[in-house]
Amino acid sequence: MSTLDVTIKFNYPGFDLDVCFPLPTRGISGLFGPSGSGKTTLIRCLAGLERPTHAHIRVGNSVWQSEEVFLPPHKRRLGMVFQDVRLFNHLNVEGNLLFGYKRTAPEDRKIKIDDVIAVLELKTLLNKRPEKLSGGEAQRVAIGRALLTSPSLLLMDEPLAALGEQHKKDILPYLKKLPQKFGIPVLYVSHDFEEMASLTQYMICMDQGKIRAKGNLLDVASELPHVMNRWAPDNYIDGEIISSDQFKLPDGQIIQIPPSSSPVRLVINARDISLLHSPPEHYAGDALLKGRITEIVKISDRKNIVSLSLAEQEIHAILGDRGGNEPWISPGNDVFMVVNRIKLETG
Amino acid sequence: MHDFSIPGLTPLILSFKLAGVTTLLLIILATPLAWWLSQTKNSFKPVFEAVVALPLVLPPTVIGFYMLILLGPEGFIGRSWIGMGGDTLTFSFTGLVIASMVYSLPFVVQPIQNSFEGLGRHTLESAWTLGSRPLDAFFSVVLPLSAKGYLTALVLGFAHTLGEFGIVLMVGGNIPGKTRVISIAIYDHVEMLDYSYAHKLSAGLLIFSLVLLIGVYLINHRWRIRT
Repeated sequence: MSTLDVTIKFNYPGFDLDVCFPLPTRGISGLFGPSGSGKTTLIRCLAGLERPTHAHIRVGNSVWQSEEVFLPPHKRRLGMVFQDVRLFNHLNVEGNLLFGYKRTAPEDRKIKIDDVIAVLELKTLLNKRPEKLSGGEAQRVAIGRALLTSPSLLLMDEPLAALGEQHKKDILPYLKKLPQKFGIPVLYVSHDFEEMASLTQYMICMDQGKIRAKGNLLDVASELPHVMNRWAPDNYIDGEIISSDQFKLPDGQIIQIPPSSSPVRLVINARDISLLHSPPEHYAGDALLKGRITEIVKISDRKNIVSLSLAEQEIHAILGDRGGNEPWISPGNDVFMVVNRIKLETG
Repeated sequence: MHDFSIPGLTPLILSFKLAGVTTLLLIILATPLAWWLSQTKNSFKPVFEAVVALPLVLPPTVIGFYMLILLGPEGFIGRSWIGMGGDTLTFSFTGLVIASMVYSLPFVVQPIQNSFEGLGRHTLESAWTLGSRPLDAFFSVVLPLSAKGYLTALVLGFAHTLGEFGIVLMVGGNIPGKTRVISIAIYDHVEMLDYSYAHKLSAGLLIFSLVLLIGVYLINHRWRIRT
C-alpha cells in the first residue's frame, strides 16, 4: 500500500500531461524518458511550481493538491534539487545549508545538520562561497540544503546532467546512500539510463506526457530496445586484497589481479561476462567466478540480460548471439562466469 | 539659519537634501514597481515601461511644464495636496521633490528592474521549495542578490537629481534657501558674469560627481570579479 499517490492532468498548448501513479515510499524511484516527455513538468507539478488543471497529489496524510486544495511550494514538505543547482550566491555554503533548516518548524527537523555534513562530506566547504565550488561540490551542497528541510519527498531533476563524467561518478555513491541514511523517498528524474540503472531498481518510464511503463527497472527497460541496445553497464565488485596480487570476495572466492597496494574495486563490464553450466577445464579470460542467477530479462530473440548475485552483490551480464536461451539459465541456478577482462579502480 | 558668510553653501546643502530625499522616496516607490514590471506577463508591459522611460527622452522643460500645471493650485496633484491640508506645491521644496521623483524615475526603476530580471524565477523557486514564503523569499533572497542594482539606482538617482536644472527652474523658481539649488546658483552667477564663483561651484560639483561614479564602478568591478 503506497502512501504517495499522484494523478495529474495538465493541458498546455501543444502538450498534454496525463499521469496517474502510486510512488514507492522508500528508496529511489526513477522517472525516465526522453527530453520533452514531460518529466520536468511532472515534478514541477509535484513541487507546486506549476498549477495543473486537474490534479490529486497526496503524500502520506497530507493532500498537496485536489479539486479544492492547492498548497503553494513553501507549504509542501518537499526537497527539490535542480539540474542547474541554484545555490544562493549571497550566502556561503553554511548559509545555504541552513536556509531551509531555519524555515522548518523545530519539531519537524528530523534530519540533523551534522549527519548531512558527514554523509555528503561538506565539512571543508562550509565557509566557501558558492562560486568557488566545483560543479560536483555545489550539487552536494544543494542536496544537503534540500535534505535539511526534512522533506517527506525528495525530488531530483537531472541533478547530474550538467556535470562532467568524473564528477558524475564521484557523486553517485552519495546519492545511493540517501534513502537508507535519511529514510526519505526520492523521485529521481533522468534521461540517462546508465545513471538510472546504477541508482534504482524501480523505474517509471514516460513518453509524450504519458506513463508508458512502470516497475522493475530491467523489465521496463526491456521494452525500450533503443535504450537496451546501447546499455553496457560496468559492474563494481567490492572485496579485499589479501596479498599483492590476490583479491578476495566476501564469499571467499579468490581472484588473481595485477599487483596493487591500495584498496581497489573490481570493474567488470556486463558484456565481458559469459556463463557456463559447469566449470571448464580451460578458459580464456581474466577470471572464473561462481554466482547465482536472480533474474533474466529478454531483450530480443538474440539478446538477454541476466542479473546475478555474486557474493551478495548484484551484477548484470549481457548475453548476445542467442546466449541465455539455454534451459539451465534460469533464476535460482548456480552458474560459472568467465570474465574476459577485469579492470581495477582505486577507492 | 545658514552661514551666509559662505553663500555657495546654502544652494549646495539644498541640492543634497533634495537629491537625498528624492532618491530615498524613489527607492521605496520603485521597488514594488520594478518588481511588478519584472514579473508581469501583462501584454501592456511595454506601454508601462515606455511611460517609466519617458523622462529619459523628454526635454526637462516639457516635464517641468506639465509638472507646473499638475502641481499648481488648480492642477490635480496641487489641488489634492491642498485639500489634504498641505501648502501650495509650486515654488516649494515639497513640489521640487515630487517633480524630481518624476524626472529621476527611470534612473532608479531600470537598474532595480534589471537586477530582478537577471535573477529569474529560478532563484525564487529554490527559495520557495526550501519553505520560504513569497515575502520572506523577496527580503532574504531577492533583495540581497540585487544589491548591485540598488547601488546603481541609488547613485544614478542621486547624481541625476543633483544635476537637474530645467525642471527645478520651472517648478521651483529661484528662491534662496528654499528652491535655489546648486545648478541654478551656477546659472545665476554666470548671468551676473561672476565667472570665478561659477567656476568654484561647477568644479566642486564636477569633482564630487566624478568621485561618486568612480566609487560605483570600483564596487561594481569588485563584485564582477567575485561572482
